[in-house]
Amino acid sequence: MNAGDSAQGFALVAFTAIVTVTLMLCVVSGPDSENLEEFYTGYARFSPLRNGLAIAGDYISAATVLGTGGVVALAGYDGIVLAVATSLSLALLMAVLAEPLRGSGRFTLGDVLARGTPERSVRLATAAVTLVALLPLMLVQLASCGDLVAFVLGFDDSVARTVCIVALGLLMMGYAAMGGMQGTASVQILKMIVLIVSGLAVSALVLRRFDYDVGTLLRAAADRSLAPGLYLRPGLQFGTGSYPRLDMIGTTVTLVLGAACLPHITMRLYGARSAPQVRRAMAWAVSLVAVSVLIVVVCAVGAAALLGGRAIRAVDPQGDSAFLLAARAAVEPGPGLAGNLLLTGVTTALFLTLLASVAGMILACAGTLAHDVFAPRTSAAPPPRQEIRIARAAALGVGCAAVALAVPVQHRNLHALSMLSMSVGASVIAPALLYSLLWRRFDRTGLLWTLVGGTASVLICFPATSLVSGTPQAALPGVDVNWLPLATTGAITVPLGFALGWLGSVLPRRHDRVPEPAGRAPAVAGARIES
Amino acid sequence: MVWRAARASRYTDTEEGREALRRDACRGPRRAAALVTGGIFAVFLLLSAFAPGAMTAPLPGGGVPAGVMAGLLHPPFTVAVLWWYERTAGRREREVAR
Repeated sequence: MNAGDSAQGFALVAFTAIVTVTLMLCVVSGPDSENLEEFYTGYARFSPLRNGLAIAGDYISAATVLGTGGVVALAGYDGIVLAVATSLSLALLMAVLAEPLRGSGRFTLGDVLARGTPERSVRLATAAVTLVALLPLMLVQLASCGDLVAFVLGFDDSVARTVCIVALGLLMMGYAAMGGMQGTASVQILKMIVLIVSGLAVSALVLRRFDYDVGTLLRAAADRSLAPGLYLRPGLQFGTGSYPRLDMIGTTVTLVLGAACLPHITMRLYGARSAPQVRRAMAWAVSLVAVSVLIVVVCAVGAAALLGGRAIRAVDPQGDSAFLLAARAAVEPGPGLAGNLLLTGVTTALFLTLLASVAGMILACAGTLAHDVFAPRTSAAPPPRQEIRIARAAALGVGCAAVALAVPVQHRNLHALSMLSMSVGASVIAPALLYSLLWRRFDRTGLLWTLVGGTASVLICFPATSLVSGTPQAALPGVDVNWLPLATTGAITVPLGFALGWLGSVLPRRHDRVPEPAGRAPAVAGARIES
Repeated sequence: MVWRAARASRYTDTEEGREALRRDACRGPRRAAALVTGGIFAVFLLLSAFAPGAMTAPLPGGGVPAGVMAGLLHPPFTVAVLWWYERTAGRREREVAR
């Protein structure tokens, strides 16, 4: 048996072990069939460190490890800016929104935004926004799963990749439906431990190849990159459009505002018992994310330094395999037993990253469908057992839809889908949460304008960007509907989302100036939180 | 401190009042943490976009470009600021509770 077969054998054993262990974790730590808290938040049982691990696990998805890692490996400086923005986003969530979010909602984003207003339109709009924000990100994870398994097991057959996506999609639906938030939290904790331990080991091996000198590592990466003179300067990723500065600022701000506001992250905060507990958990989460981001940067730059940009691009045009390639290159010349174990650890970490992330997103979507859309129709207050049953059915429905959509997009540029999710997060969810938790005058009209207008603006503008069409690297290279001279929509839709919420709340209307009776709750969630 | 004592005398009678006092106590460090981490990143981003020359100047010693070093140092700096916030807010809450 040669080295390649041995590594594939290890990987196959690891995949099987992960599937078994994680399914067992979900079953063992899954929720009681009548406990909605356990199913939707699963927070109260864990210590702050474990909650921090679970939040970080939800936050670090394939978009970070593979997508941002690829941009760092191929574009250097601009990728580092995006990686730092990813780390900052969760930090700002902790400093600005974590405490107000605690206790402001029960289970879903709809609970937070619709608090105090009985109108169903708010819940329906919030459910739609949750689906629009998370479905693209789920497709990224599922399509990456097919790529990862194909790459590790060494096959390049389209049918086999599709079978992988379908099988793994079924597995993720199982996690979400059986384990609920509590079960997936256990998987997230396992994932973060494996990711950080194996990532630190690979980073140390990479740095050892350059005598632990970051300067030498960076110079080697620049020398072997596709654009040696530009690798350590701003502009390699964003410099190709008509407005490079606007692209850089817009994309980064989108990531800072959008990444941490996505519903599967905020959902973890609702169930915290006290403010000190949520602060401690978030401090752990931010620390773990910062370590993960630095690991991704070191490994991606290491891949560029050890293999060169051309070799990375030959495996994947977006460089998504940089993390794995760095691990393989770091254990050269011969992997041996220890090397094979490390490679298995890295593939296990990536596999867990993909599996657990999708499970959390499926759960957030299923939760909003069950809690905000279907549950109120079945009766005035459906019993918990019935609502959990609806949520489990919704998880299966969302999962099937995600798998069906992931199959046709698996060979496309997946960065466009990641950015679409982040754009919805930054242009719709971030303004809605910030206004509703921190601004007393924000009312139902402002909220609906933000939710509906912000989402519509993203859905109209995003297909017109150069990330979707009009360039060879676009998601649809054969199509050209690129009428917007920007890479992402953040520069337009983020200010628009905030402006719509503000305008909707301050513009005078005929019927809404009736004074509220004394003691009535403010129309929107957080008015009582921060005055 | 005078205004804080005045608020304390008004609000300690009710649960909402005590919650408001607790929030007051944490508000300063919370805003400071958000402004410092977000503000420094905003400067880093604006310099990267509008003054790339300043960010590519090599630092003395290893010759690492200033912008790359700033980017690599930002996550650990953020972590330090947020742990400071966590500790300070907890201490102030305990003071208010007493």
